[in-house]
Amino acid sequence: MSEKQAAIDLKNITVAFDKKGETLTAVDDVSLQVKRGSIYGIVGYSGAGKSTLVRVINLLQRPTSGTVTVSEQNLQKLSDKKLREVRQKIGMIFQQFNLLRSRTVLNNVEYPLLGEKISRAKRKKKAQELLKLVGLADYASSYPEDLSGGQKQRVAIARALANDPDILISDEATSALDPQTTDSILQLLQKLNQKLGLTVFLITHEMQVIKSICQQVAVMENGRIIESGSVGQVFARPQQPLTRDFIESAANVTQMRQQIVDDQLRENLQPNERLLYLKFSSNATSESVISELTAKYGIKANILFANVQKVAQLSLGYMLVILSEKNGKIQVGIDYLQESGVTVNDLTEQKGENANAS
Amino acid sequence: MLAEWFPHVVEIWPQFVQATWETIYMTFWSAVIAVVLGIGTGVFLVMTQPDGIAADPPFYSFLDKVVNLLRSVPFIILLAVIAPFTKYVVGTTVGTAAALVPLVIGIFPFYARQIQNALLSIEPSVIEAAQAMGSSPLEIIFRIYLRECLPDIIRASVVTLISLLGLTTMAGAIGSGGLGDIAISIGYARFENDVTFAALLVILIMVFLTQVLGDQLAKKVARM
Repeated sequence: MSEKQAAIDLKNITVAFDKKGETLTAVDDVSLQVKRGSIYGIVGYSGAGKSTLVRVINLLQRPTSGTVTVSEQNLQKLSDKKLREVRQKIGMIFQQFNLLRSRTVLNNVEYPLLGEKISRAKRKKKAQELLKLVGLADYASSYPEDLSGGQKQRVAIARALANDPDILISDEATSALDPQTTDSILQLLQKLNQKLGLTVFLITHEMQVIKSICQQVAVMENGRIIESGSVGQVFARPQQPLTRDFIESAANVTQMRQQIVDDQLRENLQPNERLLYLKFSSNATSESVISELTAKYGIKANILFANVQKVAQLSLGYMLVILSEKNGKIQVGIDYLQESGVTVNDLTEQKGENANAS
Repeated sequence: MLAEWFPHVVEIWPQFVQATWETIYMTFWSAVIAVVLGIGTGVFLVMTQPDGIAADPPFYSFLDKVVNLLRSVPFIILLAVIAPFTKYVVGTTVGTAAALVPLVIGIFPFYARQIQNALLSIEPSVIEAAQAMGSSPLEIIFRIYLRECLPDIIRASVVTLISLLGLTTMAGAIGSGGLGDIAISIGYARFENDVTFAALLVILIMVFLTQVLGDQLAKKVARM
């Protein structure tokens, strides 16, 4: 990716805090580039350094070392005044919305424009248009405390767009919301990305968020980015155990694995049975492969769990299945599965082990 | 009826009315000056605190200690101790105008602390959001801190104003005049209890009015 295309370009960012003589490295040598007009997501558990990293982008947090380039400008070289102007072009939304309780919804959206040299009427009109864009035109004269969480986040998004930013950064914007509301906010972000060409940079602890709208993803742990790439690529072939965890929990595989332990499935297997965990990527469709097993090899398949997640035009399938066959031909069936491009994990042998998902 | 219940008050009626005005005068002007100083100090305390928008820990620590120190001085002693300063500023240490100096110094640190507490009720993340939107420190003070906290600031002002009324009566000790002066130097000294009682009654009415008006104002500005 050339420098010109990058909306955000972080180079070797390190943020260290000094806590009573002890150095705490929140972000450790992170470099990343976010392509203009794309949606980039960082996923990680709390304490991974995501929140610190996202604040580096608009210099709410100054890095200890490294360079921050946003829209081809090195922000660290700007004066305070110039930096404030640049910040107006980087909208930001937060988990806790951070609306002003003493102002109406309309006035909240108008807030970023108060310092601008535009007429009161124009400012009001702009705010009304933004409220319409986020679907809250009827709430202009309400106060934030009268709104639901999802509505508050919509107001916050409208406010973040008041100065026509090129970039929107999101600090766990959906983490305080229920699943349905999360979906609607994510769809709104996607709409803004497509309609306004807005570059979106978000951090989250939910792989679900990454899956539904991001094109690029980076996984963060202990201040470092341990894996990154296009969402399709990372979901289909995760390299790191943490990444696998995130992906499997997004497909409910984690819960399913726990169920195996709770139900003592392994302990109750017959000698001619095998417990398998299968992963399908898009070219191997699960139904046909399983029905082939029965038709061709006479192997019975008892499907305990199956889930398909669609990620960036890929379908990724997860299946937990017990295969049984009387004549000891099970291995032939397993070979067939592997030939068909299915990743097979045999869980049969690990008897008695406390197979926790992580 | 007034003559029957308050015989001595009627005797000194013009003086009583004047004392009432003196109390209002002292309270009003010291309040005006103390509000400016107190809000200024409160804002500076919040801005310069270690994670404030213009963090300056040494200055914060200094200001914090000055406020504490001033708050520790009993008012009746403050009156005497700052007499030379009062003389320097006003030219005299006696009278209503001279009382303004100790009144302001006695009340503004108390007010500043309450302003500080009110401003601290704003979530740091809201300030962060304003910074992310490109607001300057001055804009953050006026458009976020003072604006968002206006109801709390008004409530703090009511509490302060009522305390201030109390202090003006003590200022009678340095010949400031006012209702406190009358209550002690006439009512108490001459055993004319009705004068003391009348002075108290007027002060209670003032407190009551301040409270009621303040509460209504706070309610009104909560949503503007």
